[in-house]
Amino acid sequence: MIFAALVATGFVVAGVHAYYLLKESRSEFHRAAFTIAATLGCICIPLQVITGDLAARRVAKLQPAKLAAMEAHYHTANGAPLIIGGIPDSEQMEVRYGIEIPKVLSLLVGNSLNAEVSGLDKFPRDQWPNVKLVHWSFDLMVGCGVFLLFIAAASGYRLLRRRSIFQARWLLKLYLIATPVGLLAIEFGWFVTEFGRQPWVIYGIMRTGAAATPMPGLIIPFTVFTLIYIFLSVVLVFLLKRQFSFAESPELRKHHGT
Amino acid sequence: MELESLLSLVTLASLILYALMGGADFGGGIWDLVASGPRAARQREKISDAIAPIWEANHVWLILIVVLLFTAWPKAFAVIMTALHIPITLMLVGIVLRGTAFVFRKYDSKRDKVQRRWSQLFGISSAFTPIVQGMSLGALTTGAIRIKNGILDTGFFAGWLTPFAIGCGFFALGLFAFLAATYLTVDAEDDPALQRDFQIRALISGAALLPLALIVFLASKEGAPEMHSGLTAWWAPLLLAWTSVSAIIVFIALFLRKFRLARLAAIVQVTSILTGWCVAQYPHLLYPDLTITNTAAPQTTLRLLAIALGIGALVLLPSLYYLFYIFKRQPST
Repeated sequence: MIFAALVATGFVVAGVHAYYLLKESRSEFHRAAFTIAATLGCICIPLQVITGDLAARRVAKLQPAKLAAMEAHYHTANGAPLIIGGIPDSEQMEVRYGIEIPKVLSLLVGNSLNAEVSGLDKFPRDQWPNVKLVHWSFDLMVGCGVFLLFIAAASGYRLLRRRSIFQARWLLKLYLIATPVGLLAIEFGWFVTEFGRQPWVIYGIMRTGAAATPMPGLIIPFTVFTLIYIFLSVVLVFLLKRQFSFAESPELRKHHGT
Repeated sequence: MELESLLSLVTLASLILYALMGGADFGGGIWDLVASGPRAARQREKISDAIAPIWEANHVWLILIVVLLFTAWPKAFAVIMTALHIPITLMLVGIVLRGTAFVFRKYDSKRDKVQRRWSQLFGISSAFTPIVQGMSLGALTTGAIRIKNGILDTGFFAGWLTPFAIGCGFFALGLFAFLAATYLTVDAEDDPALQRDFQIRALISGAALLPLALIVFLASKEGAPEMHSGLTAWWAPLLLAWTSVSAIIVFIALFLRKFRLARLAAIVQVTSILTGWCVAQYPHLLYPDLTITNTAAPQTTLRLLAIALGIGALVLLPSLYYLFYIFKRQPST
């Protein structure tokens, strides 16, 4: 999660400064800020891929129902395929229109092309998570990560060829598009974690319904906290805009001799 | 000594440290809100300088109290957090708004109307939060919050809306303002006029504590009978003596302009008050149903918690000392 947070913030900040760089590529302020943020994001995304893989292996061992739901893997099998996308159907226990890559799931989970991967059929039906939610969230999370990885690779390649990123408008545009992608990946990841663990709140021990508070009227605190978060986000955007306009202001330029 | 008692001592220490440091932060905000006179701007600046380097570290103690509560006494945590959900949420809102207002005010670049709004927000939330904090603590002793079969029976509004709890809230407000004023007299050593401003404020808020304390004591007869009998138990005169003597020393020291002594005496006074409150409650966490023994986590958990606290203290205490040493020592002229 540490790397995920660094990736997300790195790309958010880089994306914001990429926006300003697309308007005015010479700005010292935005170049410096972009460099710091993009470096952080690009270094951490491959690290995140590694820790993500380790995390998935742990899930396969400790919460096999969650892994099965993540991968929309209904039938226990050796040599299990990796299913990307598609529409999982828990009634028929099949995935329609998915892209199947044979044997890869066994390889990822069990380190061998023919390792056994537990499917949802190993668990009682009332203990299945919502496979659609978990599988789609998982694929979206990975998709976001691959997109960011591509941007990191492209940036690294350009730097290896000693070409400036600031001249490559297509790459800056990619950074701009990538601004929310890291945060989205984190959100989808948390969806996988939380939806995938259902119906348990403590896996195998306590169901979520049993843990809920008996007090009524929870819509009120829910609304209050939502409003607070909205307020803080609006304020943050407002203040950042003020910071940027001040950083680019004529007084500061004169002071720095730009 | 049993682990439950040891951990409750640590919790009390954490509460006292929170009052002495975080409470003074709130007090600073209160004086910021009511800054007046020809030197109002300088007062605000001095308060901001005093708070800015350490305010985040100060509120660590509140987090420690909450963590201790839910790790060592999870049943009590569940009941207290549910019963006092409203004042605690209000406290959270106050803390969040206060923190953000302070940071945004400090780091916002332009000096205009927006800055003044942040100042107002900072001041208002600094005044409001101690009140709900006091109300929450007071509510624990009223005996109005009851459980049945392990589940809260009295809803969201019991306990904290009683006169006793509200009195505790305003008492906390006065206490924090008083504490902050005594600290600020020392912080303003380089500016005699400013120092006199804070000296006056310390005297006024200190004097206001007396009627407030009386109100709380009178309200406790009906509103918190256990506290009332606790305050008249055998050890009560001792703690009362500590509180009174240190209060007298504070006033004398303030008059004689011995501000470091005043600050020390104020610290002793606040410590005695909180210790008195805790000892009057002992062993109840929530009077009358929950004690530190009947809601305790299993011994293994308590043992691990004690070990974790020991290791954590090794890291935390020297770091805190270093932080204060760097930012709070008076510059040598």
